[in-house]
Amino acid sequence: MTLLEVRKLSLRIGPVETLKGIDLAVNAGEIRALVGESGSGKSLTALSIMKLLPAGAVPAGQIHFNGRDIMAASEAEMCGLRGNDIGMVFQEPMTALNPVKTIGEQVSEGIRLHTGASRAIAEERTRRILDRVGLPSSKFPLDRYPHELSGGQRQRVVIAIACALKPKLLIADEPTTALDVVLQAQILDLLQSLVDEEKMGLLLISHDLAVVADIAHSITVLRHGEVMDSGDTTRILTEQTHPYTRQLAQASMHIPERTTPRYRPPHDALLSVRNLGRSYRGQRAGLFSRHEDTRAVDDVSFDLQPGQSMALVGRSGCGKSTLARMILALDKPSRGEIRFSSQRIDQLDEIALRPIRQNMQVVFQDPYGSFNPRHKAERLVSEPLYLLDRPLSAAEKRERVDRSLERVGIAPKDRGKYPHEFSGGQRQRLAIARAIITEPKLIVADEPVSALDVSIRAQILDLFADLNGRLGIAYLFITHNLSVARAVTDTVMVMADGQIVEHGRTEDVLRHPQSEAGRALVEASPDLHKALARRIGEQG
Amino acid sequence: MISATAWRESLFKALANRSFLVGLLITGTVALMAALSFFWTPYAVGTFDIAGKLKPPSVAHWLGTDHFGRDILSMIMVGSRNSIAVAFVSVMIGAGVGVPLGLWAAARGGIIDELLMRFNDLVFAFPALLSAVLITAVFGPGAINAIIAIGIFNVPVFARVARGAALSLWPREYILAARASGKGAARITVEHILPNMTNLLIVQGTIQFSLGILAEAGLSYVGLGSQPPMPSWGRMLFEAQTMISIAPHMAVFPGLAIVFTVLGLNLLGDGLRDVLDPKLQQVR
Repeated sequence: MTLLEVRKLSLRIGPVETLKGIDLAVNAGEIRALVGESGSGKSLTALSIMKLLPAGAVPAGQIHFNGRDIMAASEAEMCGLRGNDIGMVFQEPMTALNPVKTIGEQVSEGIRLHTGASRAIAEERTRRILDRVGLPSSKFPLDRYPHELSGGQRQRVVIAIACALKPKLLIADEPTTALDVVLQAQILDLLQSLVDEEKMGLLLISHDLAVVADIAHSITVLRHGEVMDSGDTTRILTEQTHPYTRQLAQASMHIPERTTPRYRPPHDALLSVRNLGRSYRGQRAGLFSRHEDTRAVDDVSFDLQPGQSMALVGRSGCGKSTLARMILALDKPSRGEIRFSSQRIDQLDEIALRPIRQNMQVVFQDPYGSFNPRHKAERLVSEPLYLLDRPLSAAEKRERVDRSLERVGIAPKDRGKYPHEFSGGQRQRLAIARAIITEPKLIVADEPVSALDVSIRAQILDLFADLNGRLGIAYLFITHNLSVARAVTDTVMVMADGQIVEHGRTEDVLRHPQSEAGRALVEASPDLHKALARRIGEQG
Repeated sequence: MISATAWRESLFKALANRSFLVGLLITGTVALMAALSFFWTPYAVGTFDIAGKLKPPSVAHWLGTDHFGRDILSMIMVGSRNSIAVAFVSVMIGAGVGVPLGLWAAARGGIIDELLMRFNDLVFAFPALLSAVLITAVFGPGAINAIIAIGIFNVPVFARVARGAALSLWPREYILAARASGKGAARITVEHILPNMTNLLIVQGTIQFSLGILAEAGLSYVGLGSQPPMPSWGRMLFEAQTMISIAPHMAVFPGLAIVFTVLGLNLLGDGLRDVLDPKLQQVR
């Protein structure tokens, strides 16, 4: 039975036509994936169905939900539908929850509003649904606040809110993009079992085909507000008749060509880390009890050769970023030592660090947050030139900025633009241009592609691989995504609970992980090849 | 470097912002009035004309006369100098001391932060009027002491705004990137922290400016601001109090002057905030 039917949906925001005649249907018990890049209109389609469009957006076409005409429904009718019959899960579990209300209040709020149930009954139902999403009240009492939960647990609460009233349709807008791969697999699992049990329809929005390949029954591919391709998942992915679908699939499986030898015999290490540790002072339980220290990084040792590309993989919160900050001398270690080009750096002050910093730069995850919004590209990219021993003239500075911009594929004439005038992918290129301007020997990249669309991710990975080959820069590449590690690194270290639990050549570790943490990451990693093989196997 | 054309372009952009334009017009009028009063007023403010006292607005006296027969328009013009000077200097004192304190507290953290902010709380606990009474009790009433009192009252306000904004900026990745480029706390504060809170400071500045005008009026009203015969908006209101039933215009016009100035400043602040934010500038 068709639960949701969208026909010829168009949307106009000001003079721009953002959606152009979208057709979409979701049946009860079906998982329909809506796949496309940022700006393709996925979220606007979802918001049109919920009638939560921003002011000034003018929709046209037909939307029928469970036999009701959504386009003609009044706001009062929609309030009855939202939450009760249509649930929604958002991308960012941090901002989707109200920080000053307990999880119990937030889940029961919807139940009480829509059913008029008493507090006790609503609480009982809240307990049941939280138990169902894997937050049993014995371990997660209802009076917990969102900040006391981890990212994955928070997303479970969001799903519990959306599913509390057993909606007929659930819309999940990039529900796992902010989570690490292991949590992603768990959340997708949870969504699938909820659909199976309750015969819900699920509209699952994602930018990555690999993420939805496992659980979606059917896929609709969106680009620039138009449906490119639509149909059964297995057919779409095996035949890949539409060139754009093929493009997305390839981007998802992309492995850049690398010119450097994949592995070199060890010689003098560029970076050498010995028994490194970092503890944070925890809260005291009482006035006279001792501080419970948490060890973010615990006894880590490794070497990185010049020109070597090494991945540091692990789940969120395992200590990857803390380790990176200590290597970058942005944080002081509690124990152990760090040597860069044989010089010990962990005890140096800022002035003594200057020559080291010239050879060690950083690229961050968030292409939106890594630039001062008030400076223009030229000034942003030239920032590390401050480290040079003698100040450059304006002409020399511009020359180096231009060379750096060209290397990352940005036209030098764009140097006068502000960061918000660049797209997400271009901004990450700018971040790389900033990192390579002093021609460093090492770049520490902290999740540099996690916030990017798959198609842009592929381009940025190519750029990393290319710079590694051309300029001989060594990388410490921090990621939770194994396909990223596979794409650009020679060796990989697996980190769990602050310790390195596995270390070896990338191919070996990814094929035959020895540690438990490694296995969990490999199994959870979305992989289009594997998903397809499984599907074809199931169908015989 | 900003070229002449780029400057002109941003001026055009600014003038397209309605609240900036209206705010600029009102504030400009008040400022012009104050400037003009140095050279010319319809009547000299010191001349008493007992025979022509408490006259309602007329062609000779546009805004009427007070209980000594002085021309109210002339007094408002001269009084605006006083209001503007007191408010401006006290905002400068507040921002000049408070902002560096807040930035310092945010950059250093720990015990310095704690000490600075608790000291701030101490100052903040005394309302402007109370600290003004204290200062005038020690140094005697007058415009200078009013400026100092209001200025001290402004310090913790700016310190808090600056510290709060700086604290939210420090963990940003571009600050980390700047630290990875070897820049120290002072340099990062000047290059990255301060420019990203200018709009906050400007809005706070205009709010404090208008509060300063109100505070000056309040201090003069209770006789602790500038002393007679120097006209002041606050004291004009005070003197109008006893005449309100016979000559309401004596209270209405200085009151309107205060309202308009405060309104104009708030609009100007709102407009400036939008104009100065590069993200809000529409790409044509």
